[in-house]
Amino acid sequence: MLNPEQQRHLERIQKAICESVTSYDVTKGAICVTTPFLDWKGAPVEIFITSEGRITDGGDTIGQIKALRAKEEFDSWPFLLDFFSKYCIDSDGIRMILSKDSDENCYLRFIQGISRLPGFFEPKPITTLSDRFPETVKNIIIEIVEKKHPKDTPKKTVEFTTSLIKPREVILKRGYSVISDLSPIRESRMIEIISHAKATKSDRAQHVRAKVFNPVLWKLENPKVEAFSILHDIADYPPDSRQLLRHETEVIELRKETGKDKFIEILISR
Amino acid sequence: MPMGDQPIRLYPQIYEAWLAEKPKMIPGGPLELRPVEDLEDPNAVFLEPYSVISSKLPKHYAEKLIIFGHHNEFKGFKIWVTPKDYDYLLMAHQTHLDGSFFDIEGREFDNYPHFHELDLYNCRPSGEPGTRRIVSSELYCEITSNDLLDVFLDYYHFEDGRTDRVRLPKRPTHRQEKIV
Repeated sequence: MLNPEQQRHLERIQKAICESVTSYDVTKGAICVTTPFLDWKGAPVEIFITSEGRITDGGDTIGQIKALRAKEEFDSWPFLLDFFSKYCIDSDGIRMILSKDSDENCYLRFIQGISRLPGFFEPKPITTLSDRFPETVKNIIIEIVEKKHPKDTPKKTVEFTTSLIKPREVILKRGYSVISDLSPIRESRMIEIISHAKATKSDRAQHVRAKVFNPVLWKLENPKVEAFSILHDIADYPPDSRQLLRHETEVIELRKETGKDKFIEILISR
Repeated sequence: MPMGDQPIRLYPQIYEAWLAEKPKMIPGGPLELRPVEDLEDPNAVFLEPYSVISSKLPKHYAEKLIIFGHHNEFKGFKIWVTPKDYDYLLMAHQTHLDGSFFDIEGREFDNYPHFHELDLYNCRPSGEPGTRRIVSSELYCEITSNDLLDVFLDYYHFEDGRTDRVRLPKRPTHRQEKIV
């Protein structure tokens, strides 16, 4: 039994929560529903109801996770499916969607779920230029291909460069898969981008070992595989890492004058 | 130098000094927008987190400060400056769809890009900081995502080593097939 003071507080809480749920029109015929809850950034959690009646987060959750460079951790988070089930979430890879056949309780679970989710993953800020070496490599490809190897139309050139800078997954006979960081035209080629040049010595060594693992595994199955490592300067890496890179791959150093052209040639030659 | 290790409030004077801090260095720059690959809208972009250096903020803010941005399919591009584990210090919104709003100078706008600053001098009764909306002269209706970032960086004196304006990224047009 509530006493008058408890009753007064309860009614105020109920009123505050109800009054904080409002809506307004947004684009594409959808409405935005504001909620009383704040997300990890201190901003109100909002959900959207499309004209077809679908309830989504508008892509905010996965957008944030990608923007915080935490998508890989998100995709391999062992609790992901349980979390989705517990919080009535479906995902199409772009946005979070309220599960079908949800009852009223699921609305609140969904709102709580999307507000909590990004907080499970640690943002990985870019602090130095060296963290961006993979992007630098991709920009080099775009610039050189546009200048020196354009296709008939700008659109075709963009399509061509896009196909080159995508990672390529190769599924091996034993069920393993290996990843080439880029997609050279010759399909028996693998190109690994070696970054982390300014990381700690152990991190650099670990990064190189992880990268070299891909061509080594593929070569076990197909000795004709050609493996290349793209890096800025091999002197940035510890001696055992240099030895490993040279032994298992052909090393292309972009600091060298001819490095960029040689790299592009490897990428686009048949 | 950043202030000491003890938990301290972010006082309005310190926040205002940070807003005016010039430059706010971004050592991993220049910032580059990246496309949301599953969407065709050229303004559907995101900004990965970059560390921001500050000598004005308390240590617990200064050591974890990041700038990042993401796209919402109904409300467009949003930029955030926030410590990694705590509430935002600055925001930029490409749209404002919730009725009209007044900026800090008392001008009324409908759907218009704007920045959000904390108003620590005018906290709400709950203790939550107020918010000030800023509409700088460089903002324009239906601003592109790259221009929003560009104007935001200039307005708040972020220095990321750019020598030209922020560009929209080239968008991939098809996916690479798996080889089996």
